[in-house]
Amino acid sequence: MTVDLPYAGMTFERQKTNRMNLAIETHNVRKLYKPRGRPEIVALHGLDLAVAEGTVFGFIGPNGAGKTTCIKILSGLSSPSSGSATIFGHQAGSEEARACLGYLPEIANYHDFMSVEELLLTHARLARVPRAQQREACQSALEAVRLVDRRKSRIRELSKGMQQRFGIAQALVGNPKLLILDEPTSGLDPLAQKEVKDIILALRGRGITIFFSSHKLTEVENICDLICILHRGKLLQCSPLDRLLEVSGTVHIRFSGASPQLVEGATLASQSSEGSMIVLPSSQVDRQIQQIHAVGGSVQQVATERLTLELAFFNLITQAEHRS
Amino acid sequence: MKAAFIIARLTLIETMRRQIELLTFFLAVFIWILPGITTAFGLGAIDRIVKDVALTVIGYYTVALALFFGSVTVPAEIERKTILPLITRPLPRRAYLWGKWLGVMGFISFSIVILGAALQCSMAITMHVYDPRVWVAIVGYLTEAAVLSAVCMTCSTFCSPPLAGVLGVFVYLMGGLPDAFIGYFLGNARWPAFLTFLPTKLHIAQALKAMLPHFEFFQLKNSIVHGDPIFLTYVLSTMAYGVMWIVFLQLLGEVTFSRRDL
Repeated sequence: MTVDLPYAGMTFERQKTNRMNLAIETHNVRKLYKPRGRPEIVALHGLDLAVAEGTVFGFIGPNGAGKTTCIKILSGLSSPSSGSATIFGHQAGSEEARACLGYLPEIANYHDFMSVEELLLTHARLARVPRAQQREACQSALEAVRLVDRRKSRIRELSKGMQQRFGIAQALVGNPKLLILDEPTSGLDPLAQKEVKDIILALRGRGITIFFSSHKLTEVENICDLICILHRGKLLQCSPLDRLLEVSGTVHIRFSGASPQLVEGATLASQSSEGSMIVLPSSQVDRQIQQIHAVGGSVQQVATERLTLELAFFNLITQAEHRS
Repeated sequence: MKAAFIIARLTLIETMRRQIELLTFFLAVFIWILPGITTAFGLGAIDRIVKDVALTVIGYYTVALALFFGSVTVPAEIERKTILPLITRPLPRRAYLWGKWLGVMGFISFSIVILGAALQCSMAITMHVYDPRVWVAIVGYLTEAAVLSAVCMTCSTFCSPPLAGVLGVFVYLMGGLPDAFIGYFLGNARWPAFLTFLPTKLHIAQALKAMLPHFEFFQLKNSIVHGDPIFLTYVLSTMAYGVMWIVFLQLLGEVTFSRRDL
């Protein structure tokens, strides 16, 4: 896990230095919808994102947070009302940007009367794969999603899980540098979910940048390096997974020696002849360690209590709801 | 342009699957037996009647196909969301629109050629008549369908399929009205009192018509049925006129479609 990835929250000036390595960059992206006869809806409020090449980026948020709007802007299906978005330095939606990406839509429907191989070949042609390499590209995409034996089947004959795997294959067929997966496991049974998850993990090993949006937080936690939480069109948090799970966590200090004075918020969780343990907020760790040293004690271990992504997500959303 | 042909192929296969060609084959059978029916009624000038009726049927069928597929093809793909994996490929939306139009025209051409062939075979077998000029009428109908489907497709990029169809019908009717008819109607019609402030209603109607494609240019049926001469230059110039409208409409469609959120 690299912790020095550029992520939202960095100053724009600093991001400029890393721009060549950025797979995705958005700057102050706003999206307004103006339904007839109703007040306008702001789907995205000035979104700033920076995703480094090779990152597996988890994009999470409650329903209506603006995830799909953002994905549509990145994949060129929609245009921002203001601000800019780039894919590998090319303006999102441009042909150059689309040549770099493979996209799996949230609701994926295909021309289901065609065979797996036939439709994949069509996508390979549209993705400008050279004629001589088209069959090979299809074969490799089918191998990646383990659908080689169903190449002659019509799409409609596939189960939902297989269709989702086909969706990943069609996204992969142009050998994209960036894969945008919008809720790839939604509506799948646990076995199919695992299959899709395994495929994504295998792709991660190939160095493809993956932009992964999902409501299944354990999946995001298992797969992603960098997590971005969106709430009501605003970026709530964007940081490496480890940092996110530690942010609001509690710290355990195990020490030996005389009992020190406890700092504010700290509690003595256990005490024995072998050592004692203090539980305290992470902000008070330094002060508590000074207190332990002051009475001649020695610190044996400082451990951060990690949250689960689900808990961190829930805490952040609840705090945001309270603030608003 | 290669991408447009890929989309066209996909559209053609998809359109074929709608089984509308069953209706084409039904009409082909009707055209096939048309000389027999006409003879049974003891009518004279059978070949002219057969050509007139068959070409009228072919004409209206072509218009119906152009209106239907022109209005429905793009919105249906958006509705089903099958457009999403396609349009995120590195192809311009222009190529997508051209592809859809080419696919629709491929299907209409296939249908109309079957009906034209049915008419020719039927006349050749039952009346021992072969009139190659029937194909000129077919070319006229195809050009008309090409323009009309482009009108509907352009409309369907910014409105619903029914509205696109209605706009297509309006453009077809208005663009097909002879100038003399417009002059007669507006010159003799009694207008409500509140419209009397419009002293130039005739000019407005004529200006409106001038801005729309003139579909009557493509109507070659009467000349063919009555044996009037049709010059190659006229056919070529109407085709060029049609192509000009198609290009203009596709450009207009591209402008509206490229701004559309999918």
